[in-house]
Amino acid sequence: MKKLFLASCLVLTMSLTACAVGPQRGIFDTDKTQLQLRSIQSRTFETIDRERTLRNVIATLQDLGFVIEKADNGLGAVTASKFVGTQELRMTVTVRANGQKRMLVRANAQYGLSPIEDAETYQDFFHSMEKSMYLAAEGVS
Amino acid sequence: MRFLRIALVAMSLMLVACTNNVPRGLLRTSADTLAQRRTQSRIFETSDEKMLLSASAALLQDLGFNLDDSETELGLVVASNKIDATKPGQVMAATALVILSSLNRHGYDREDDFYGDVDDHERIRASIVTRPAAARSTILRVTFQRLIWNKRGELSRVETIDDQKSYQDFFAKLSKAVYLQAEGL
Repeated sequence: MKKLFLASCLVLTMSLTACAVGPQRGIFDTDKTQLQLRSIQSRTFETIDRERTLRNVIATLQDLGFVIEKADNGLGAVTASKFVGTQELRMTVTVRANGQKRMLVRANAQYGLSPIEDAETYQDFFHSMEKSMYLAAEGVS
Repeated sequence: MRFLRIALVAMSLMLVACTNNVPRGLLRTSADTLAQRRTQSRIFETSDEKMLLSASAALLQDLGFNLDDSETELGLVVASNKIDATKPGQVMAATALVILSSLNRHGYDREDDFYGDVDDHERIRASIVTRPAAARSTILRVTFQRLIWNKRGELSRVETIDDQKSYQDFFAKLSKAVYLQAEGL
């Protein structure tokens, strides 16, 4: 019985400290490499109209329930936030020319205290953006 | 055998504890995306985006908002205001809890800070976006967020405002503001 009690204590301690062991994550540490992150968070669009792409980014973010906080046409950046339960989901999207005929859209998001680094979430965003661009082109208000 | 089971439980707990807690599908459009878009948008028969943004900014000022950011080239105005969020019902409920607590424990315990949970003030953030539409018209879309702090000064609730009435009221006022702007009043 005593052994069982000791083992249970050990289990509890291990599970509680499972994420606390190891060195603390540095300010500039990420789970993926810089190149991996860029590839996950970026998508090119066949257009030369930077302003229209930025406006589509804004429309997409609004469709996803975000409130636009900041936008800068000169820099080509938009920052927006929304609340998911009690957590804040914050996103910055930038648009810049990629060659002569393309625009590169780069997005990065943070959920509460965790940066989002999984590919699927960004694929969802770009898919939503394609949908939003289609709706805008069709004149759906 | 028993220790093997315990070890397995420990390993599962550790794995669960280390799983990234970001929910899936955060950036997926939902079934009511189009309905929301309609509630939050109005078409104005003008191609003058700057006039619309200026009328919106004037209306927000009328409503006591302060401008936080703007980018007219992309059709954006962001503003917020801070208002009293005290609700008589909450204060009454907190008072009732204090009375019940003091009756139960023969005296008021300072640890029962029921008034601390009562709403104190809220901040409404409004974000207005315009974009050109077909036939010399402009679509204006507005979204509101509400952040509520309690009497202890803690941010207690956050929400995106999505009730139709708030948007209808806003657009009714905006139509007037656009008219006043066009008339130079």
